[in-house]
Amino acid sequence: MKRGIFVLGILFALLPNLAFAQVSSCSQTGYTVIFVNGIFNTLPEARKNSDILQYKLGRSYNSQPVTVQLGYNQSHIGGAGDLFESYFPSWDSYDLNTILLDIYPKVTTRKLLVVGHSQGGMYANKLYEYLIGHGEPKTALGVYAVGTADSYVAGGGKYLTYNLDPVINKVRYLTDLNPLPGNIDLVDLSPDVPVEGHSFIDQYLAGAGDRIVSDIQGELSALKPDAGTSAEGCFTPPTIDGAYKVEQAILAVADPTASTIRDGAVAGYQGTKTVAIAVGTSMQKSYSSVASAIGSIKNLFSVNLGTKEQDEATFQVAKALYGSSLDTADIQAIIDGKDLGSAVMLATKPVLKKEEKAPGLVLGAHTDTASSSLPSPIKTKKKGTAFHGGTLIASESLSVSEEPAPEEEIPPMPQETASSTEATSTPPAEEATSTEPVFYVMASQSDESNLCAPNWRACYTGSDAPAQTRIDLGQGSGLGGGKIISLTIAKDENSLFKYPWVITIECWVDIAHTQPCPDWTAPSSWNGQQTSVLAEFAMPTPSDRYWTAYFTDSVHDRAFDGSSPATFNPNYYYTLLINDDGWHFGAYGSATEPYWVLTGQK
Amino acid sequence: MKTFLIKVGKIAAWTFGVLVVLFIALVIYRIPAVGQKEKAAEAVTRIHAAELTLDTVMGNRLPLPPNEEENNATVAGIDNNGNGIRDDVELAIFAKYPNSAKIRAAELQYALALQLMITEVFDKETWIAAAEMLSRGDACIGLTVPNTDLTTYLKRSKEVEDTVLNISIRKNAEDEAYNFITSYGLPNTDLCDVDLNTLSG
Repeated sequence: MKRGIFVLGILFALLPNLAFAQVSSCSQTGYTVIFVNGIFNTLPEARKNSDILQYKLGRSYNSQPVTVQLGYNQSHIGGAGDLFESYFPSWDSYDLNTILLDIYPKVTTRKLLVVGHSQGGMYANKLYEYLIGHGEPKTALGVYAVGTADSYVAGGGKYLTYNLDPVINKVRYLTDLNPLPGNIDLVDLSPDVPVEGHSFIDQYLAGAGDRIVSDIQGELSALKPDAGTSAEGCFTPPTIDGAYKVEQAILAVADPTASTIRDGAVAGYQGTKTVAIAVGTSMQKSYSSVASAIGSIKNLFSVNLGTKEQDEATFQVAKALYGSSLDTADIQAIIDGKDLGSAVMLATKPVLKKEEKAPGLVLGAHTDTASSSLPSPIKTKKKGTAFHGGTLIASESLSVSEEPAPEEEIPPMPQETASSTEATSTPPAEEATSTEPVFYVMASQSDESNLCAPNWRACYTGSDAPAQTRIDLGQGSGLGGGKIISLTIAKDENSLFKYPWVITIECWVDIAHTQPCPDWTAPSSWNGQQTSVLAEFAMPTPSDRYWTAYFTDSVHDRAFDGSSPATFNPNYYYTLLINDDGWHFGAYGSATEPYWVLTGQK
Repeated sequence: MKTFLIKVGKIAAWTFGVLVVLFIALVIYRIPAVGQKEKAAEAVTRIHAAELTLDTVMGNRLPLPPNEEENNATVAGIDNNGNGIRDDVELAIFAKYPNSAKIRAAELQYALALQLMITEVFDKETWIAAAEMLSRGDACIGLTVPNTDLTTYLKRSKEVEDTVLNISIRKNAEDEAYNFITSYGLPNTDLCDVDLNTLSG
């Protein structure tokens, strides 16, 4: 008996240590500011943002301590998960609970303000709603949002969104989230910071730090230390249920794998082997494992080794549900170790809010077939360049590839193979007698024989640093009198990046391009309230060989008099700005100029 | 009746035996986790114990320049004077700010915290400890510039980051450490290891 008791005693001594969160008392004095980071931050940046916010806010306000906490919004599936979350809000509950559980033991004040940046703005709202829903008084809580992806700020809090915030503008354009409109122009940005940007530090705190501090202090001063209903701590934490644990376990498997793949792709060619190894080992060379990474959170798919057909079917379901831009050929290439840039396999292809273009019209872009195959090696392509005959856009199409592509149309091309740095312009052909719209090439640089490796910046800007190139389009009178319809550029089809380019047409009063036009376009939040700018995102075609920006949105692309599409003013001068929006793409052109075709309609 | 009781007794004994075996299995299964926890606790203690000294700020024990190849062969690099700051980083900060002990103190503290982040972190607990040290160091740099001068503040913290994370293995080590990023609270008091008010510059 004694021996039994001794054994039991030893066993109890060896019992696993159960950690109980230590909950501090909740002080009526002081403020806690929870900073929730946003989308696509690097992890050190996510941490650093809270440091800088604390620096700007100072350590006290109203003679009470102000403590910033990072409410870390984790990126799942190698960063692309954030986009998934944007499209599938059901993801929110897991991350929301994680943030709440993490901050619970650390929040020690009644007065609590949640500051969200980007996607963090959505979580800030949800944190507020959770706390209100669990007995905390509205008087003690507040929300402030910076560059928020959400359509509101909970509790009537203030927000700040830069008019030229490209991420929020993309969210506005690509999703149904309807983020709050821009409400500030940032004019004092550092010269080495892109004018268009979304960074919490580089754009928002650097460009509007005083306003943000003032807004936050205004919200802090309105808070009252009223007690809520929580028995312990400063609020009632969520309970950890079985679903939470299951999700946690799934992400623990999916995230490191996706992270490896993402890192491999970011590293470019060097990453190819890493990617192949990651897929070949961690992901067990199966389609379903990719599908699982994409769909893991829904617990719809598990990593299993079925037949290839089963795996492929599973992947297709995940693809349909989650909008992956990959197809089975992409996955097979990754599995076989033939593909690079594999991070994008987990990227979503967002659904355009814009109306589909009218069938049958080729507005400066090629029309892809539904199925696309993996691109061929670069060296085997682009030796010959074929152009449409004539300046009018004909319905016939030719392939630019040596490989047969019978189902594909190619973008409209001018006949001449211009290689000069000047834009070439061809006036519309004779007036068509038909009422059918007549599309014509307003200007182009059409030689796509040269791949700008490793990315377009290497060719067009002479270095890897600048993110954009500006092309002189000449005077409006030389561009024809038609409506501005679209601009197409040719990308390296081997690059799987899907992110849109920013295409801007700028108007100038003078030939030296120093005075912006006062009355060319209607000012709006879309163009930064400017009267001289027409801007759109160029989206990739399904074959990934071209990007096209359409200037036909009746809201974004209005002339000064409100009509749309806009036309060129024959007396003004124009430049074309092609901006890769911070993503490194491969693209085609001559050795000195990018391939692009500006299409108009008479 | 007796047979029935014997049967019940046997079943009870087996049940108890199975439970004991399962319990022992659970304890054995948990041994690595407990070991890991102890290891983490030790690392957290080490991280919290790391502190910049006035001697280091004043350069009383400045190291000799390290052999570059040797220094870059490992993530930790060379720290011959044993103050927790890599020798090349320490020398670079002294070379940049020979006349400002205040800025040196802030940047050396931040460098020390960055070194901890890339050498000591292997789970969430150690990450939080290192992140708190980083935030203290970062905040200490913030105390060397007015809070209206974000540019200078960012420049100073970045020059330390670039110096500490100067080669790919160190950047990779930082990436590895940030796999454990989580929510945490920034320190609000006792930001600088060495009181800046006592220093020149």
